[in-house]
Amino acid sequence: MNAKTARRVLRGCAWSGADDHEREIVAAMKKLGKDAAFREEFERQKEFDRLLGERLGESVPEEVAPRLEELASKLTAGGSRRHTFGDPAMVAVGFAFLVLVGLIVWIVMGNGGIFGGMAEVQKLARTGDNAGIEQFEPVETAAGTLGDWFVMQGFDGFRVPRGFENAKVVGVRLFDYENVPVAVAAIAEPRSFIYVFRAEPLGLSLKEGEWRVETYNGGRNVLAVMGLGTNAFMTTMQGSEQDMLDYVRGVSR
Amino acid sequence: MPARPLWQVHLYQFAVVLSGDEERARKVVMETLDASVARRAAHIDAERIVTGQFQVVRRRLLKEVPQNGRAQSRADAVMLPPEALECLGSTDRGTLLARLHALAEPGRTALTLLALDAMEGDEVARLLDLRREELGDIAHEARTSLYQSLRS
Repeated sequence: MNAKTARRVLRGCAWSGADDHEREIVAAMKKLGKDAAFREEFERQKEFDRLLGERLGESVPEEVAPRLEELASKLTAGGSRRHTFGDPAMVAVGFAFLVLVGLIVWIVMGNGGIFGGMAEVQKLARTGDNAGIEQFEPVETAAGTLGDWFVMQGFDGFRVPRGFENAKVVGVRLFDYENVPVAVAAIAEPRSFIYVFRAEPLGLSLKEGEWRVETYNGGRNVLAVMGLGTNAFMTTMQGSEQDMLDYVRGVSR
Repeated sequence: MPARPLWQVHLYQFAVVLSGDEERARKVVMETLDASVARRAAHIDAERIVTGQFQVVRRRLLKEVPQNGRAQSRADAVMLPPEALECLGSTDRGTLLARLHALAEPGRTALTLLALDAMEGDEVARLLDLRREELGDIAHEARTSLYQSLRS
């Protein structure tokens, strides 16, 4: 990490030190921590944020407080730990997973000459497309409105590219692929699926707004995938590469 | 992981900043929590549930309340001068809320969540679908914009 990136990272860190343990914060502090001018700026930034938080207040109106407290307790009671990243067993599993992903990327890029991660994406598409109808929760809504539903299932950041907002969704599902949560929506017309998932853990290198189209299942199915912020957005259907290109270009127009 | 203490208070204050209206903030927060209690998936840990509440409230308020345009991130924006702290401390709460409310998104959300210490920086970045350094850029831009607005 160079000094400029370190400065940018630290401009977005918590004043309380709550994220001092994060890898990027540690690296940024290592780079800039001894720079007196930066430290002065950094301390002022933290004090500015702390003071702003203090001015915003730590209380709510009396008539709101009891109900707010009650709902908050109901909502956070009884949750189990799903992600135990500090657990040594999970660290070991995570490490093994990273080695596996690295190996797959190395093999694919070495032998296929295709972009990093496409074999993984095709595998994900095959896995996802094979889900039975009973694995989907039936809904009748537009794809652009699904963000809140996925948030309540623990999936952050579901969004779709421009043009897909009004796609009519008839079923939704969340599953884990190689420990990566994948949000899926079944589209009625044309009959297809859309997938949203974090790109980085699968070793994907995707550009925002640039579709990559590939066939799979012996050419019977086709997928189109692109970067969307830190996520990947993928749509799959039966047909040829040209069918998919016509579809995504038509939708995005 | 357990949820942070006072998260519901932070959620309320966050909604006040985004809506610029305590009544609307109250309505949106209560409705969101009510719906979430009914729809909550039991296996999700508390911290993720809480982050989800901020996301749902934000999405709803950005839809309901007219917003300023997206903030331009400028990594080399001016530094906060020492007077910024004094300026912040001497402004009455009503004016401060109004000026904070008037900031452009997503800087307003970033700065408010960091100031409230509602969640860690990487959670804020994830909520806004930003990389860590991009979050720093927009938070810094929001700080300097707020200071300039308070000073004027």
